[in-house]
Amino acid sequence: MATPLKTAAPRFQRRALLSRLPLRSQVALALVASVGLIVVLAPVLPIADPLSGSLAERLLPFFSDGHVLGTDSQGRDMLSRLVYGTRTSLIAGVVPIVIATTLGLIIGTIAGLAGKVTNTILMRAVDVMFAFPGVLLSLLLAITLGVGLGTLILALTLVWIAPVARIAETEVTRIRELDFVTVARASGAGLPSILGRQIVPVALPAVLAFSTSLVGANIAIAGGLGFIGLGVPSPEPELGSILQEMQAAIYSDPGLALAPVVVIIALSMLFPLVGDGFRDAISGRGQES
Amino acid sequence: MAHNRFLRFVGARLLLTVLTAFFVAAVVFFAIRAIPGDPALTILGTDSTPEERAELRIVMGLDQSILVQFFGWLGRLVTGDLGYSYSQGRPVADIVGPALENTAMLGAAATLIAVVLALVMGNLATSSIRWVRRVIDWVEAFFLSAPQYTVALLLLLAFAVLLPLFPAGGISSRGDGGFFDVAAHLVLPATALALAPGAQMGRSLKTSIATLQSTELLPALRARGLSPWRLAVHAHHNALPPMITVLGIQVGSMLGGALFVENIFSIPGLGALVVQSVSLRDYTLVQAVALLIAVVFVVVLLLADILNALLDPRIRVGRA
Repeated sequence: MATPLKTAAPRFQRRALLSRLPLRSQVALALVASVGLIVVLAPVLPIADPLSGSLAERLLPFFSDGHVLGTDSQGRDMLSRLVYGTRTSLIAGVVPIVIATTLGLIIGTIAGLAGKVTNTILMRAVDVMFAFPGVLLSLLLAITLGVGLGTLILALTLVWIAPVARIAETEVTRIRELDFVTVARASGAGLPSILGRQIVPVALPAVLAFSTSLVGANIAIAGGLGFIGLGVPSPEPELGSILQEMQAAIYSDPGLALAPVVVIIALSMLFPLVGDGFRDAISGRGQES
Repeated sequence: MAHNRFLRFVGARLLLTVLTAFFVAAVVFFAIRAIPGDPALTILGTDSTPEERAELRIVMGLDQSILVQFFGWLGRLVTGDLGYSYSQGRPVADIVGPALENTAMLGAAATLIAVVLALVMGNLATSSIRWVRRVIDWVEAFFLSAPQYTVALLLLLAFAVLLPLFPAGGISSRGDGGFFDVAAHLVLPATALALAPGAQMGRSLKTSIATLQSTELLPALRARGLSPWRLAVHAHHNALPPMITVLGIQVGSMLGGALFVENIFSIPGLGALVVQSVSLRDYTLVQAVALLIAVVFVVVLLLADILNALLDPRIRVGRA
């Protein structure tokens, strides 16, 4: 009995995908967008200078005059520190993932389409990269290249190439055996056309969903490096270093110390909520509950 | 025959592990060696004479070619010579030993807590009560994503500052150091490290139980008169291999997290040591500890795979 061939590559309708997203992922997406907007508009928003403060005003509580979220241990406005710190953390969180996704997609696609030998070499190399705890790798690079936003982005990029390459390879290997690829090949389509029209566009949504989730983990690592003094050098605000500065205040002013904790946790959670929502929407799962 | 296959699987896996360890050692060595500046100057200080520095460079082997240095370093590592820490004035091996012990204790405690968490969450996530599933869903999302250092600070604030149930730092009280004393010191930091592995393993368990619930195996077994306890054993047995794989991978994130958590709770382990030696610019020590952490992870991954192959014969037949 012949089953009908699926001769066309599936296309995703963007609007349909968005509406299939679970409610909590939609909310998370809206929150991410708002945070992004606030951070971009930060210079024109009516908030204080994140770098200037007076020691006379140190550790003011919440809702102090002119300082809604109080001040840090050097008297700088906490709200403004958090807004600008989020901006730095988002750059350190998103940029490495964008670069790593591009490189991982290239490596994974080559590995998925190439012969057995190339595939083995590439994927074993990926396995080897996987075996390095990400925090440790970025720590080594941070001390080798000197701390700074550029180093941080480079180090974190290296951490995430392997995971993306692995997902991309799995997807490409799965897709290349599907009917519509065979049909395209049989009808004489060349490799560039098959790659560009059949394989990459079909593999992309799953890879992008995965990468979106990774941004959360990446923000967590970036913050951790800032926390141990290997992120962006002070006085530039960054969520991890803000947390480190406020750590001592945990005994005297727990509320103030909690503010950066809450922001980091929120950012780390929002991206996986969005990414996992997209993943479920693409694979058609997540309809229960 | 099956025995033979198992050995071949272990052999192939071992080869990959040695390759990985070699790569890791190379990254650690060349990353440290690429740090700009003269190590001799760092150690002797700016008031040293050029002659003194040149002499130290020869003693440290820095005058030789980089490859000779690398393989010399590897050779000494194999014999257990990890180098000499100038900041502490002791051989690195003497410093690293106790630190490794503390981190191992922390890791063991975290693993124990993670397994308990996984059992609880996996079972609650497949509960027949809807709101329980929903709550677990959110708890899982939090556990999986919240960075370990933020969890550590929250736990510190809640259970050491506001509600002083546990000590706020250190590995044992002065003059004590008995089992219960050390255990009390480990509860909070180990919990901070255990949330993500616990939730991740709980997911595997949830999938396994849910798959089993969708088949007719459970009603069939029940019809044959198996006790609920035996049924539960069946449901959990299948989840074991994926849980071990997840745990192996998560040990990497635990080791990474130890860098932060050990600092927050002042536990003298490998993580605290590496951060401390970075700030002291004692790169021999950084090199040794970073390598040790990476090698521990590589070995754990190997053990997890071998354990899985022992438990699940299908794995060793498939790909090595």
